[in-house]
Amino acid sequence: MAQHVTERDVRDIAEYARIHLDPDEIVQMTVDLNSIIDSLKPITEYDLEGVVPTFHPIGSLSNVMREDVEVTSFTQEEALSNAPARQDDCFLIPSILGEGGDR
Amino acid sequence: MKTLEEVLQDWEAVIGLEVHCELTKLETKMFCGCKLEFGAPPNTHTCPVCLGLPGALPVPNRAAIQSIVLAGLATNCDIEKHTMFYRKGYMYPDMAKNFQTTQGPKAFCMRGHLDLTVDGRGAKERLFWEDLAEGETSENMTRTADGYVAHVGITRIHMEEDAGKMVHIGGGEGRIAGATHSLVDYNRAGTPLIELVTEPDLRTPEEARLFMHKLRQIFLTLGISDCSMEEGSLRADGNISLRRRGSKEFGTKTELKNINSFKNLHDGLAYEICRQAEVLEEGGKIYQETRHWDPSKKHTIVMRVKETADDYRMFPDPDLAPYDLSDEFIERVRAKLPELPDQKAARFERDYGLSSYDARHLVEHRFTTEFFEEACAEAGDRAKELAKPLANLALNDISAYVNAGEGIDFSKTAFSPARGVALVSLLAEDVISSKQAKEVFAAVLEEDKDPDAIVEERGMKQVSDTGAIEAVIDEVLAANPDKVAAYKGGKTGLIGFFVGQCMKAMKGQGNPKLINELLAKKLDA
Ligand SMILES: [Zn+2]
Repeated sequence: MAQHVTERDVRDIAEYARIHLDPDEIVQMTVDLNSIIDSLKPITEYDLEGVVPTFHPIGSLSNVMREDVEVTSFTQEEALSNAPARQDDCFLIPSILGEGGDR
Repeated sequence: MKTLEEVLQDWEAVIGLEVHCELTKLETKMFCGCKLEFGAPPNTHTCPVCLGLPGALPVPNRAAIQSIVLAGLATNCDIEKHTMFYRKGYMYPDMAKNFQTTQGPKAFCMRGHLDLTVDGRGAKERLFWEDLAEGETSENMTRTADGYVAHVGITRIHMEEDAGKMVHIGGGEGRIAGATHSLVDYNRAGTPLIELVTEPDLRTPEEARLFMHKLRQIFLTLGISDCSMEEGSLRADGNISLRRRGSKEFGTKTELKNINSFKNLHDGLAYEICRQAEVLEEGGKIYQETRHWDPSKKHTIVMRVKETADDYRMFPDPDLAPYDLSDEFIERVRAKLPELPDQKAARFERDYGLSSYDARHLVEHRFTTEFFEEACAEAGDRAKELAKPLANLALNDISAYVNAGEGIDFSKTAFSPARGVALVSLLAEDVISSKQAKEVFAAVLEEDKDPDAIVEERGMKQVSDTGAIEAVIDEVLAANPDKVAAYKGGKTGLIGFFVGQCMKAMKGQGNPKLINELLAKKLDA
């Protein structure tokens, strides 16, 4: 199996995605990601010169829009029902910047 | 620190703007049917889509797409038919999805431009324009008689969504610094937002201010947003770099945030230009960073070192189908284009014979535009004759009145366009003097009466009876034989003295124009 991504790459990707991985999970994830990339190898064997990339698997679907009409929303209670903590009808979260904040 | 004028002698400022405008006139959000409402109780307008719950399916708002196409057409953009939405990585709690839906390399509107007329005091900030001959173009400006026109390129206008609102607590005054917790309200999350990006074509803070002002007038005319800088529905970020005069290379730029008024935009940019010049002249280095303008302390501070573009991890949103806008869609939007401020000003010049200066300033504000247009309609056949005094009334008295009282809706005052026509008619017919007209203007607003009634009540009518005036003139001349002799001896400046004496004798009610004429006739006889 080819080494497409290193453990270092996986650590960086996990950090970008804000996902915590233990050291042994990083090792396993590196193996998994490399094997996933390997499985895509057949695509590279086609001549794709000049082929327009397919961004959506939904084929000819385009211009999907809705009218500007209000639809019933969550009640405030429903919206906040999964919040781990709340205060003043808002989601209460830990400070985003820890000590110091902006310089 | 040097002044802006000193700095601009040696350095050229290169400024670009990023303008965000919330489409506040829509009923619902960008990708869900939640109601758009400013100031609603927290978290009362949310759903699985705007809270980023798993499995939710976003669907774009047709009216929002129509609005951005309208904005593009009004700013001379090409409408890009084939575009799509992208996800932009955004790990910040005011957007629960952890990404912002925005557009990729192609936006709905590309390659537009606006022209700015800069003259008077505003032109002073741009040095050396006077070196050009009238009509001559250099780079992105064309010299006019008393200033110049700046041609400002618009790179793109793309469609995206706003984030929710966060209040930081525990740090004092809602500031992030020192905060222990934050409160999040997602009512604003998913509000349709258009972002306009200019080319780095602006050269002075005044040009940036004029650009924002013009853009705001256009968006207000289109009716796509309330464009309130105070409430944050219209926001501007500025990119600024300096280069030595004559150099073609760009310097390192900083980004200026927290600009919530035209004055802050101007003053923040001016400060940042001077700060950068000082750093560079002392041999220092400019870092690519985001800075925050603090109007109370009159300086900018670093917010954060700018992330590189790679950090956003943009990729096409698999939940949203691409666009393939039809000509019919675009033409239907084009048919809704109202008369834009520049077109209106051109019409005022053409139809009413106004100067380009008056016409341009009339369309700068809605209250002056509306007053002038309604008054001209009211004046009917006499519109052309009364247009100039009506424009003066709007630009001087009405503007001063509105500017003195914050947030006044002039159309709701007692001074209706019809009363405006009545007032300028009294002036045009020499019934009252221009000084008296100011008094009548104030009285109409205060007492809610017609100008004619006020003139009648206060006995303000000026005397335009030739016989009566001539009698007074004869008395005045007879009482001042020495002055008459001096006048005839060449001291023609004494005419003012005679006019004053006549006015005094008539208790200020004589028609000054007529007195002047008749006096001159008698003295020069
Ligand atoms: Zn929603």
